[in-house]
This record gives sequence, structure tokens and C-alpha cells, in this order.
Amino acid sequence: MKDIILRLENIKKAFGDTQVLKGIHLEIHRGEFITLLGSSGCGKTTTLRIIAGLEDADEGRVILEGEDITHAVPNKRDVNTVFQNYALFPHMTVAENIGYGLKIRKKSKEEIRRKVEEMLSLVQLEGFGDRYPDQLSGGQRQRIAIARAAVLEPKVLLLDEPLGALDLKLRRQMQLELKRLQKSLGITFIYITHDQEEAINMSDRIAIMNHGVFEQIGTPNEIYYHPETSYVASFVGDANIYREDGKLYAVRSENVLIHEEEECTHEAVVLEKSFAGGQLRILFELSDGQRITASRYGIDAEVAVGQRMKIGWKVAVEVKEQKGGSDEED
Amino acid sequence: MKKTKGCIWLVMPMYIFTLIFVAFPFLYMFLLSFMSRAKVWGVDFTFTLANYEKILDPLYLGTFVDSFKLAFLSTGIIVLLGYPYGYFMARMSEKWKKRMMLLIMIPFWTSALIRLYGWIIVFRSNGILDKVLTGIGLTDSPLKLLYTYPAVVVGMVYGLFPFMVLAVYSSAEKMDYRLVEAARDLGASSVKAFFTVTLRLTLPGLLSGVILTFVPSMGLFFIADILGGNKILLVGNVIQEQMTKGRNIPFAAAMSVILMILTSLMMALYRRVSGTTELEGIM
Repeated sequence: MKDIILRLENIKKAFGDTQVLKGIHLEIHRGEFITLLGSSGCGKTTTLRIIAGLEDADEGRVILEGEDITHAVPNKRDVNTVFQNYALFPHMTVAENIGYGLKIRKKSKEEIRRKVEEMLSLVQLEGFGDRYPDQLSGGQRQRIAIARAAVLEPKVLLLDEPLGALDLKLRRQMQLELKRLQKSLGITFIYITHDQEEAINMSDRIAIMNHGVFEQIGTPNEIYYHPETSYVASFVGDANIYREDGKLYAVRSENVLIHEEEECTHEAVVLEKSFAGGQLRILFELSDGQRITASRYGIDAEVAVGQRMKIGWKVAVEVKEQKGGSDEED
Repeated sequence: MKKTKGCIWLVMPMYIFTLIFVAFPFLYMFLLSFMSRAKVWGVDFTFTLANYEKILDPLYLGTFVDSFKLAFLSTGIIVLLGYPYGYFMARMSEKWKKRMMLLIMIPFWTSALIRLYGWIIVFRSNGILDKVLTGIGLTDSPLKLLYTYPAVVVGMVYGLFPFMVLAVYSSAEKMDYRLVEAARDLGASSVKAFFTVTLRLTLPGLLSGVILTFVPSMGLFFIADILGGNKILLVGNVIQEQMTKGRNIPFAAAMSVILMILTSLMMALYRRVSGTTELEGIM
């Protein structure tokens, strides 16, 4: 039995006519790094804002360590947020930013100074205390934003796409750093992203959101190798969804076979081929109109558009219809 | 280098305009303030400091003090009314922003003088205000508000209120509201978040609003004239009277110079506090 620190019960939220959250349930374990993964507009940021108290749920309950905080004001919740684009106070120095929450809590000057120093060294920005946010790079601001929220030692730290504004190289580096920070702080992280690579690299568990519902909640391995729904399979694994006899199968593009005699039982036409990231991607159309993408490292380059051939696959995972409905609802 | 040259030629007309219509007249006024009064009309070009000595006369010094008092009072009221108006307007939806802005702009479509005459109708004995107040039984007899100090204050507040709203609005509009959310998230109550984040970040707008209301309220002689009768004398009224009835142009010039120095000091103070030379939303 895991220790549940935060529980979301049947949370519903609508903005105007749009039902953003359709009654979600989620249990978050103490000390875990859980990621809410989904494309934009799926409701992940709204979920986070409801936990932080910046948005009021229409229905349902938010339970933090057994206490119902559904309608508590943001400043009375033991959770803190690292905002998208950081939201550092531009009129305060780095040290004042980090010390803001401590000052509100009327801690002594000495204690504030000491904790700010501690946080600065934890995020490896010793000596930056007297600078202003506009004198920092994006990556540095990011660390300060995390330090500002984490210094209060909240029960849960909420991170809203904190790496979204950084370039790819810095993002990879910060992923490792965030993971290290989470380990050394021992705080529960709820992390939001639309980047499946980020989610898989950092998370203990991933909750995949689509149109206001969770499609699947599980470890990165479960999500990647045992997708439950077609949405999860295509969003996380870049898988083809193949329909046969009223059933849905997920077929990863790297598992699509070409020219191999035994499994290649499907007649197909080459529609497109392209190179991306050292891979050849070939889009096939099957005789029943379904489309399948295959990706390979540099081989089968002779395949020409319009060519007829037989394809097949070894690994096909049966999945359910996606829960969140299709994009046409938007 | 060529590019820079082209730019200079483009801004030249503005510099020439400023030189002819701002710098030269001011220099002329400054020089006039050290001249003597001519016997009948005009200026006797002999150097004197008498004009400045005359300002130290309690009679004139008093008008400076009165003007400052009135300006402080009006500006204070305008801050209390205009700041919330401008701030909440910035937080509204686009549709409501336009409506609220229209409410501010409509009065500008009518001459300020005509609008002031409107206030006379409101304030005069047995005017609209008296009728409403006696009608609902708050007062028995007419209040005789016209040509009193409160009437002038109302006129000042009414006339200068939009400048405060616009200045605060443009500052509040630029403020990232997520900073307030961040403050709340870090434990600040809404009041605490207002004073530590919102107020501090809209301060440039508030301060330029103060400048834009305080400075003109020292010189808006016609408001004091129309709503205050000749009972309330402000620096602006004295300058105007010295120019016209008193025909003492050098003295009027000297008073104007002092007024300009005082307002420049205000601007310098603004620069010190807000750390910027820009007047939010206006320049």
C-alpha cells in the first residue's frame, strides 16, 4: 500500500461551454515524480491550477494528506508552483525572489539568508543573489523559479512546463538536473509537459491526458510497452493504429517489416518517403485504405513512391479506443 | 552611417518646432522675469530682481501654498478613484475594456469650458444637486456649493481624473498577472500580494498619473475661476491676472518660472523614485 499524499476525486471544470476536465481521478504517492503528459488543451495546466488553488473546480475534491483543500485559497495550501515562463518578480533580486515566501511567513532575516544561500548552492547559482531576473539567462531563471518554490519545502511541488522555453540542449541538461533536485529535496513533484521524451526520462509515473480525461496512468515502461488505448500508443510510442475485425492494434513504426517473407502478408502502396533524424520514414497505404508508417535507419532507400509491396509486423499490441474522444470536439 | 543621417533629417522638423515654440518662448519668459514693468503697457528692459522679491511677499507666497494644498488634495482624491478604475479596466475582457475606455473618452469630445459650466448648473443654489438632496430629504436648505473650495476640488478631480486612469491603465496592462498568482502561490494574501507585487509594478503608472494631475492642477486657473468665483486664488489665477488686468508681464513671468522650477523638481523626484524618465502611457 503506497502512501497517498494527494488525491484528486472526480474533478470537473468547464470554461464557458468547453468541458476542460471531465471528472478526473488521480492518486499521487509521497515522494514520487509524476508527469501529466498531453498535447495542448488537454486540461493538464487546468489540473495543476486547481491543485494550486488558482482555479476553482466545478465539482470534485482535492485532498492533500487527508485534508480537503478543494476551496482553500492559494496561500493556505502547502503546495507551490514553478510557473511556465518562471514568473520571477522583476523588481526583486534573485535572493529577494527566493526569500519572498519565507519573508511572508515571517522567518528571521538570518534564517532567510541561510536558506536562500542553501537553495542557491543546490541549484548551482552561488553568488547570483544580488542580480535581477533580467540579468539572468533562461536556464538560470528556471533554476531560480524552482529554488523560489522549493525553498518553502512544500508537500507537493507543481511544475508547469518549466523547460518549455529552453533550447533542446539545455532542456536535456535540465531534465537530469530536475531529477537530481527532486531526489535531494525529497519533495513530491507533479510535472506537466507535452514532450513525451521529457516525461519518459524523468518520471516515476506518467498520467496521459486527452480531452479532460486520463487515458492511462502508469510507469514509463507500462506506458511505452503496454499502451492501453490507441491515443497512448500513438502519442507516446509514435505507433500506427491498425484496425482488424473490430479490434485495434498498435504497431510501432520501427516494428513494421518490409520484404521479410513470412510476416509480410499485407498488400501496400508507398505514398510518401522522407528522411528525418537519420531515419527513413515510409508511409504505406494498405488495400483497405488504412495507412501505416514504417521507419528504418538508412536502409530500403530504393523504395519508390507508388511502388507496390508486401509489408507486415511482428509486434502488435491490442489497445482500446481512446477515452478522450477525437479532436473534432474542440 | 548613412542610415543615421536619414533619421536625423526625419526628426529635424520636430526639433525645430520644439526650438521655436518651446525653447525660445521659455528663454524669453526667463529673461522677461528679470525685467521691469513698463509704465503703461509692455516691458521696460532694465534688469531687476524685484519680481522675485515680490513673490516672497506673504500675499503671493500664500497663493503658492494654497495651490500646493489644493493640488495635493485633488491629486490624493484622483489617486484613490483613478487607480482602482485604471487597474480593474486593465484586468477586464477586451469588450469591457473598450466600454470603460469610452466612458473616460466621451467627455473629451466636449470643450472643457462647457463641461465646467455644466458643473455650475449642478452646484448653484437650487441647482440639480440641491434639488436632489432636498428631494430625498438630506438637506432642508440649499447648500450654496458653487464658488466654494469643495466645488473647485470637484472640478479639478473631474477634469484631471482621466489622465490618472490612462496612466495607471497602461502600466497595469503591461503587468504580467501571473506574478500576482506567483505571489499568492508563495503564500501572500491578496492584500500582501497587492502591496508587494501589483502596486510596486504599477508604480511608474501611478507616479506619472500623479505628475500628470498634480502639475496641471497648479495652473488650471479657469477651474478655480469658474467654480470658485474670485474667492479661490491659485498660482495660475495670479499669473493670468498679472498678465491681463495687472499688466505686470515681468512679474507674471517670474511666477511662471518659479512654478516651472517647482514642477521640474516634482519630475526629478519622479525620476528618482521610478528610475525612469518615461511618463507611463503618455510619452
